[in-house]
Amino acid sequence: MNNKKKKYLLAVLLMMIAFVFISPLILTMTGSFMESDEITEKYYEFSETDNSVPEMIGYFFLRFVPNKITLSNYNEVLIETQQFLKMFWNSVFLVVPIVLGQVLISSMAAFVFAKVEFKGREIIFFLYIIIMMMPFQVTLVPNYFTLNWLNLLDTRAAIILPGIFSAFGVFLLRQFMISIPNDYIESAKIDGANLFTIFFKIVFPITKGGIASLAILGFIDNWNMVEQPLIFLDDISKHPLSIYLSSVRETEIGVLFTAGFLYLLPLIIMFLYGENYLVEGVSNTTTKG
Amino acid sequence: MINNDYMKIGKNKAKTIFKVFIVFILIFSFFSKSFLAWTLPRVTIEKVDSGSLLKVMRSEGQVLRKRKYELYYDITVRILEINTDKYEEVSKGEVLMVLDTTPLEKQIKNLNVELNKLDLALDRVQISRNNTLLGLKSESLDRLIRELNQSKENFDSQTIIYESGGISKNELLNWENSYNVSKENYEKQIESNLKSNELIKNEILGIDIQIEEYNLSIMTIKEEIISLEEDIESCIVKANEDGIIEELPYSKGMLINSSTPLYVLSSDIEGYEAHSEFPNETAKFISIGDKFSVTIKELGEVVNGIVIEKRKTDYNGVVTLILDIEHDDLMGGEVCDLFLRKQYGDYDVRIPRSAIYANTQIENVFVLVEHDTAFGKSYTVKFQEVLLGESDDINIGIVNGLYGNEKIITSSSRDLSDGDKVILDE
Repeated sequence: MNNKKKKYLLAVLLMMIAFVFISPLILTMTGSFMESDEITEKYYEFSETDNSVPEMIGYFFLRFVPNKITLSNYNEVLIETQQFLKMFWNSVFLVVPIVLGQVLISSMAAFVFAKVEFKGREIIFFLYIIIMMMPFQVTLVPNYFTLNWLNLLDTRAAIILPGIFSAFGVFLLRQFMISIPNDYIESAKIDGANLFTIFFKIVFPITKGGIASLAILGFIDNWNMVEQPLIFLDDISKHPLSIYLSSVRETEIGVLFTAGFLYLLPLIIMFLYGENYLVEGVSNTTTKG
Repeated sequence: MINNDYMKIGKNKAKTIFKVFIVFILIFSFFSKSFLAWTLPRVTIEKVDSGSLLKVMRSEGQVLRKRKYELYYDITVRILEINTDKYEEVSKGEVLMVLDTTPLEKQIKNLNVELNKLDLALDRVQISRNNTLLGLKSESLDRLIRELNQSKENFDSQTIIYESGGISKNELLNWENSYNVSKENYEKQIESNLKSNELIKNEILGIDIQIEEYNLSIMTIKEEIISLEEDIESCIVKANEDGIIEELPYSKGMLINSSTPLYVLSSDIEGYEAHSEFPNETAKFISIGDKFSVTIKELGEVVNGIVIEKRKTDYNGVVTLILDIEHDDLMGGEVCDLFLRKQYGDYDVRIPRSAIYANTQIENVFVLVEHDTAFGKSYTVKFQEVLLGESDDINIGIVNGLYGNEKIITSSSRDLSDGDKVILDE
């Protein structure tokens, strides 16, 4: 077997693996154009038996290509049940302030940790890393009590304010900023620039790639959040879209596919837009320290 | 360099997709309700409730003097004379009209002939009864009893003689046989008499019933004659009270009938009453004792009017309602408005009349079905046949077809079919 054949085989293998990974996305997209009955046509061969325990009585079949293309699901999601759009905008109004806040706060904090010398800097940064290691569930109860004390429960601020302060963002941008030569900063100081000027005029533009990757990662992370709104927001009308996707019933599977696809679209667009920044950001985080 | 170009192209595509997506979402966010209004019927709903129906009854009427005599005759005779006129004041006992008695006299004559016939028939039947009674066979039985007693006496005396040795045993046996024969004849006759007497008794019973029938017929005819004689007496029609003739429906030469009074005479001795006509359909909801609000137009005042009489007039399908009213300033002849709101017919399920869908022969309503979806509620309509009960101007009672917890469609922007998706009109 020569190198060319090996390359082809490898390519085929990789394509197959890629298809396995991308197939849920394709299925969601094509399913959004099918009737619910068509999507679930073969589902029942898996579970419809007299016993309470589901048994496999046929092959589970996923239909990728619709027999008949329909926009009825889009009609239902976007026109008939207007709740989807309300929740979509709920998600936007939660995620966009969080991402903007994260970018501002994290970049400033990262600048300080990377370029400003002060006593205890390393210890504080270490604490930041520890916090980053902690899963959200650990800080859930203290967060809840704090928000209750501040009388912020059941408001969007209960989600936005804790979300703005991202330890991961500080860590990510610090790695970027460390690579900026100190000479730039020293030169600016000699020219009479203060820390804010140095940050906004020199450091911020240089770390644009890192900021973009933070924004993308922050957007994806917060777009998918479930626990925070469930716990901090009692008012269902303020809930984001991520919560309601889980409550779609089997009979509304067409709606689920459509809503899922529309839910995914902003994430896909963000990824397409900032793919390179994201790769750059992740590689910087792993190679520098 | 090539890599950067690809990046730039990718970014531009992503930007374009993002813009399209945002525009798309914004359009639907702002205009989805408009789209919805164009595509789905807008409906208004109402929750099914329970309770009584409410009948609102109103009519115009007239105030009249309360004491009023209406003279009705149930005979059909011609008017020979009329000695009064409408709105004329008359005194008690004054002759108002004279009716033709000829038909009544003719009837009496015919009845008398009939009566005579019946008397004769009765006599005949009674004679027949007496004859039948004579047929009872008691005479032959008496004779047999006498014979039997004689035979017994002979046998007893011969026995004594035999015991003293006066006659032989054979001679005694002959006497005994003679006695036994007499006894047997007597018993046979008794049996025969019982049977024939039973038949005769039945015959007599039949004759008695016939006599009773004749007697009844005679009595009826006699009563009829008396009644006709009274009618003849009343053919000179007099005023019952002092008062004013309010109505005089007939004129000279007309035949009178039982549904129209000969005259209506009013007197102001006992106050006033309101008269108003209601259609039969409405009047069936009104009972004696119901309290109407009566607005006297001339006085501009509202008084209570209690229903004291419902007078049905068969010829035009209306009922005249008479209400007792009181007011110091009444003169009679005022125009009034009658109004009553009355509850009736208690129903477990009551819906607005507008909910009844009239496009088919079957009476039905559209019931709202709520669907809880992940993104809120959606609505469809279900076609539901119902059995209707009574109705008022607003609501209608449902006898069968609804449970009482449904929400029903009361109006729709378009024609509906079973299973249609709808939007609720806020």
